[in-house]
Amino acid sequence: MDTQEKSLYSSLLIVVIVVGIVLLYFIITIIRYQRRSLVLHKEKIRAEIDTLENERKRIASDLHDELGPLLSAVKLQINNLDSQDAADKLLIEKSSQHIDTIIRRMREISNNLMPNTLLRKGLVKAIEEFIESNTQAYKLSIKLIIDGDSRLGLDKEINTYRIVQEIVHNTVKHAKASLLVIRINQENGLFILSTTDNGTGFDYFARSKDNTGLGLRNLQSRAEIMGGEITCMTEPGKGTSYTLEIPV
Amino acid sequence: MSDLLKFWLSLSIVFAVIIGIIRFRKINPSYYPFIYRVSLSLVVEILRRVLILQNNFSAATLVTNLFALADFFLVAWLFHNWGLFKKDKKLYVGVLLGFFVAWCIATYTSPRHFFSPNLYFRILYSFALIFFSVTTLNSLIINTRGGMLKNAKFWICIGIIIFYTLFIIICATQLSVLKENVSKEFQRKFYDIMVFSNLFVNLLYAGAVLWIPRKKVFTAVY
Repeated sequence: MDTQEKSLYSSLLIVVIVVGIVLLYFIITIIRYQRRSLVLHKEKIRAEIDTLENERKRIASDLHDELGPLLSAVKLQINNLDSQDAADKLLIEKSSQHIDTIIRRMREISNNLMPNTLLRKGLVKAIEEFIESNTQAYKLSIKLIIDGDSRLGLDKEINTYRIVQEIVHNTVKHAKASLLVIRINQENGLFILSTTDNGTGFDYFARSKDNTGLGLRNLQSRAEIMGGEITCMTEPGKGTSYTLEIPV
Repeated sequence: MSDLLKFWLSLSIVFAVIIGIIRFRKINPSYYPFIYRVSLSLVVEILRRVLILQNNFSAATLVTNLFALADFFLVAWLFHNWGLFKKDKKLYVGVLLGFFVAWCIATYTSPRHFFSPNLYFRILYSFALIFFSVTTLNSLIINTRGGMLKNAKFWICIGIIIFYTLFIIICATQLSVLKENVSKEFQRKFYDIMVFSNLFVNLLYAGAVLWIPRKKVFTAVY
């Protein structure tokens, strides 16, 4: 190479090295900022979900422990009324029935807010109970498949239970499905919850673009704070499948 | 650096191909175009070497020109699978058609048509792939909730940005400088830059193929 070529080659090398350094800096900053943003995002989501769950626990406990006994006492007092008038007796009977209905509904609401079964017997029993109590109301056949022992910590079980609730509600509200299969198993140190329905499915990208998928975002947030991942596979006319993977 | 050594270094893509073949049935199907792309690169490297050994430089250039088009189509398919075009098939097909037309025009306007290096098209599609990668990276930073270091998409995008940025510099220099009478030694050293960036990116791709996520298994009982 002559002197001119050497200087041209050196200039070219300098350009390449400068571009290389810029790209390297670009990669390092991307990784660092993404990590920082991830930590902040998770903290924010965790705080929001903790607040929500604590509030639910408080309301459920207030309903169950304070209003429940009070209503039972009112019912007892009404039933103790000693009236000879037929119209009054009928009124007492009706009032007693109303109070029974209120107590039953209040227990249902309290249970929906924070199921006792979930706290006492764990996730699988709570999901079984949820399916049993809702199948008829939803007119949806739900099949639950459990492979092996699947216990998680309480926080993870609460979040997973909420995810199941959300998926079932979504299936009922939007999917027009007649069958929903829920499968729970553990594989390679992962707790895996997979669901499939035979409903209408939806255009995931169109839904994300319209920014209407609040339910989908809730599922994602809960999966994230458990350090897991949720994936949704769906297409119009081909049903919807979700897979949740959480490290055990 | 000898031509033989350059050839062996260019075969570093074989690591990505081997890992891709081993993992092919287990990986998420949206990454298939990437496996096809690295496999095609390997085939093209070998084919070009064979043609150059036979002194058939025109055919080697033709292979490179055709590879440029196939490369763009496969990588665009990969980005389409990742939702870059919002799964809009019309837009995706439009982009492919647009670049096919650009390839035809660049080939037609080259001095020896199919047998001259299609430099303008190479620069154009390199820019497009860099823009696709940067857009995907932006989306990854916002939407990815796991670590980036084990994210195949991240490393593939970084590989594309590094390789095609240097590729643009090389092609642009080729357009301006190599028209002049430069020595063989200059040309050889000039292409060495590309050999090293190719080696680095091939190893990056091998890592990326290793981190491609597994296919999801769903219950389908009905």
